[in-house]
Amino acid sequence: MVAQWLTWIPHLWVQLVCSDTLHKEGFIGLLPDEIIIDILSRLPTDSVLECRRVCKKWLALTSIPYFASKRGAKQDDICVFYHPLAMESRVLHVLQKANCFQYNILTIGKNKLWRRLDSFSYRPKCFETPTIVKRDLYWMVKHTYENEYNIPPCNNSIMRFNMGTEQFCSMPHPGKECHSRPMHEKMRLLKMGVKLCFGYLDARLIDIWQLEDVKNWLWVKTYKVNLDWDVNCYPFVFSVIDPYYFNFEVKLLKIQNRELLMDWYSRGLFAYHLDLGTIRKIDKARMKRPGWLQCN
Amino acid sequence: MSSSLEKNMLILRSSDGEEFIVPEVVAVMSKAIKNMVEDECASNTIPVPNVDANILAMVIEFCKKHDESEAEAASDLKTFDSEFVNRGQEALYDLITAANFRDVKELLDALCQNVAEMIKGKSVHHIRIQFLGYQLFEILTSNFIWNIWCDRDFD
Repeated sequence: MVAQWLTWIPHLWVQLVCSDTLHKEGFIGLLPDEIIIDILSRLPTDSVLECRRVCKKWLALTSIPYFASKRGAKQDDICVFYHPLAMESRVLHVLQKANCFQYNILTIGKNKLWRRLDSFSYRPKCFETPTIVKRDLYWMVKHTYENEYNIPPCNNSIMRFNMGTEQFCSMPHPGKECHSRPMHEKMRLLKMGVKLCFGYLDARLIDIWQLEDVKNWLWVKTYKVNLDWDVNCYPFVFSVIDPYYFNFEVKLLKIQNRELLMDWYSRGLFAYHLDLGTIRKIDKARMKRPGWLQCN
Repeated sequence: MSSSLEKNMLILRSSDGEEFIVPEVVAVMSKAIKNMVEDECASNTIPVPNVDANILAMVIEFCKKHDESEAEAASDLKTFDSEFVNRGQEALYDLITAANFRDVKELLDALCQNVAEMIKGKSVHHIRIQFLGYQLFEILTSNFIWNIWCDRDFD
């Protein structure tokens, strides 16, 4: 009698597990990535936010710069972040005024509301992908150059937005003042654990700085990565090795498990262990690189 | 058969062997076919692999309409487009793949816009079930994992 009552359990199990393998993957999941990006780029902002939560792949596809450029006029004027205390996502929006930038914030939740923030004299580079450490969003500042030889101000090269106070402020980058445009192009903000890091690529050396004291803006140079690797072990795929071009083709991506992930365009994707100094080539990445991944 | 053809007609052969006689102006709306015609590497019959007769007929219908109605009002064309792409998911998938592979820009645009309209305003769970073939139990677990993942980034 009891056994008969329990027959629904395997039945339910079959329904839940086996139907999954039989079930055809939904049709959007089967489409090529370019098409998915095309579809998602046609959505209004709040639908895009909803779609970012659908799966990791969609989150990744809507995070790349190509997606922002596909959205055309809306290009990198919004940045989405998750507010841990309010337990909701928020959107930051930037608009250029005469000689400053007007920022607005949208709370998404039960009641959608646009709020005006104070205007600020700088705007970030790569606005849609901030480096988030604790409750601060960090970006490198995007300098507008009216003339080619304008000197970028080193004193205001990093900007920060605090989620709590909703205030912007700008700080100098670590190291010496350089006042040089190409040097600013080679700087990247990264995140290691709960600390903000700063990567700077100079000739064949990468300097990694760590922000030890947020209040006093105290940076410590913690790592030096030498890029003079064995050419036999890690050959260049393309033979053009132009010393000037060299710096521009290495891109620092992120620090993960104390490994610095870098994209070296003509050699492949590498993970450099910061403590051990070992290099690991990530093989899968070199096989095929779709065209849209190459735009920066 | 090909001898009786007018000069500006092309024959498209679908993957299952059916043949369609199409004016060249209509066929070259596909960039892929246009390239073949321009390079003169196409004989009268152009094979269209990966696209079956059913889907190929739909694509030709779309291209014909767009070719004819160039002079017509744009709003008419828009209503035709929105009716044309209003199909089941399987047909949509086949059409998108065909349009992408054969490079028919107008059709791909209309299709992507349609799918975007379908997604617009839907909730995460709805999208997962309807478009990504998720099952209920997956949604329960993935939601759980997502919440943990979000919290991890802070503190």
